[in-house]
Amino acid sequence: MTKGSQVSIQGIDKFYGQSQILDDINLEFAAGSYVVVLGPSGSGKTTLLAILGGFVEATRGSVIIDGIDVTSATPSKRPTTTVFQDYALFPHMSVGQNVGFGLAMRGIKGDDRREQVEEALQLVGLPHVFDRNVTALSGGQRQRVALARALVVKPKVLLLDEPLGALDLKLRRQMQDELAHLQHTVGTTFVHVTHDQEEAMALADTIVILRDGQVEDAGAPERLYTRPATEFAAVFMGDSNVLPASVLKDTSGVNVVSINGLDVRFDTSESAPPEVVLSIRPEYLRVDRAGDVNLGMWRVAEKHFLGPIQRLVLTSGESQLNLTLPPTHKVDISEVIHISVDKDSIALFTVEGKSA
Amino acid sequence: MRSRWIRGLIPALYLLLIYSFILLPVAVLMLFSFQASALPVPPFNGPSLRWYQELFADDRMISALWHSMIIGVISALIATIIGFLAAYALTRFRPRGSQILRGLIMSPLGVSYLVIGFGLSISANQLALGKSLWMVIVGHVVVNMPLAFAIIMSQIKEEDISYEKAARDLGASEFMVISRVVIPILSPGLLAAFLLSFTLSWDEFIISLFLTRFDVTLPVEIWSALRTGLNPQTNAAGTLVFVISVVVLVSAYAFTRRRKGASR
Repeated sequence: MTKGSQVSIQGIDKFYGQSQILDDINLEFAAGSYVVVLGPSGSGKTTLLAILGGFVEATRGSVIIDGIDVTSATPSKRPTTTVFQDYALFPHMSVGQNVGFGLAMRGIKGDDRREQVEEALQLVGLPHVFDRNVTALSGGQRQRVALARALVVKPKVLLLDEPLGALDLKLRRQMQDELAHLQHTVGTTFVHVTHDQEEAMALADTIVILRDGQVEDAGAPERLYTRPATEFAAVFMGDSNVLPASVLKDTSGVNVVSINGLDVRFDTSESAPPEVVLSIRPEYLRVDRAGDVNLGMWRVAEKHFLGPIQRLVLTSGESQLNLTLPPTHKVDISEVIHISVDKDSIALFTVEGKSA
Repeated sequence: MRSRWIRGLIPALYLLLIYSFILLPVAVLMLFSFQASALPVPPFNGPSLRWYQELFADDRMISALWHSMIIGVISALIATIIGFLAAYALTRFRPRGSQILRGLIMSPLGVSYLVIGFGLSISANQLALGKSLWMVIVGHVVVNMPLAFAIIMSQIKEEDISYEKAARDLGASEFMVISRVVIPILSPGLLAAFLLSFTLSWDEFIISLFLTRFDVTLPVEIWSALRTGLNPQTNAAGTLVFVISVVVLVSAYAFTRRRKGASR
């Protein structure tokens, strides 16, 4: 366990019969961080969360929270609580009884309980609903009650299973900001599962990208976005231009990459295989010659005005590039423009999609 | 125009006939419980509460009524508890062979009351337990538990498991999960099962006849009263049995409806 990490996931495998859902997951989460586990459906992210919460038993591996091995502890014995996707608010109890349930199970009674419940409801911005029936609440309010119910027992780790999935887009963006604020206020470690990369980037200190039960990449959102570890991570984290390229050895010992028939001097690692894939974000392409890497002349095939930005589709032979520019930059359809890019903005992968 | 009128009339007549066929005997029975004279046969010369007065003054009838009440409540309670435990276990834990277990639990429904009553009566003798109201309770649990089980099973929703997960997550022990979450959520179904079991026990005759000797239940008492001849007091007892059954059944129906309404 790394120093400073609160949650340590060590070598987790999960099989359901013959099919493997999780494959050797090793992760460390720092105390007080907001972790988002991101992945497409079927990537195993919900199973991983269920293993952290104690609802599903891992086939192999262990989960350690604050130095205590909780691998085989039941949900009620773990320092974790969960905000369920469907909220799972008890329909036969009032809001106050729902939020107070965990406290009641811990033997906290009367005014003490009432006070803590009111405090938790205050925290999530619902101060006047104590006696309300949960069935009378809107989706967004239920979400907040579920958060209050999970946080009131002061868990060490709060698990959130697609917490915003049931809300409409506008409410989702609003709740997203509130979640970030809430996490900041309480300082509890949040582990949040979603398939929405925008949500992940907006909230996370650390993003974990899962694919087919394996960790594709994990790290700070900025790093994942600019220097993704794999091609899948690059594409999943937002638009990316993916270009095949060949690596040629220069006489002076420097690797030269041939992109789109154009040889560009470009230092790659010594071990780069002859065939690679480049990934470049649309907004990192430059419409001048000032970048480190010259990508040659491209023809503007399409132009889309998107409000804050405009998006261009460029072609050169068989190749195609997506590019975003400020809308103030004047470009015409069919215009041929020079494209370059800074070396730091290029991520290089093997053809299998692994970091090269 | 005329043909439409006739087309509307035929189903109405049909329904009238069916319902008369079903309800007329009960209506006649109830009507003549208010007979003023000593024979429950036309012409009707009431209404009078004379026979109700005699009924409530009849110690044998009243003690039989209490026996039926107590047997109904106890047997319905036991049937509901066992039915709930079985239904909960089979839906939540899906043990190996749960289909077979389910079939076994339901099997008493396919056996006639005659066989069950007779079987229990022989067993009671073999085990030297003898006939008693306690044996009637056993018999009623045997026949009502499958029904309670089926009603409760139909009310346990797959989605409700998330409430149980949430409760465990918040630190509830299994006992707390069942008492604070499972039972309250299922309470309309549990009440419906209890009330239906109660009515079935309340007017069950064959098993009670086989398993009682001196202390009897109301249907058995009414049956022996009938053997001594017609009497409006028996009508009054029958009316009482019917009215209580209807009230309880309607409440049972209302409770299952509530559960459906609540789950939306």
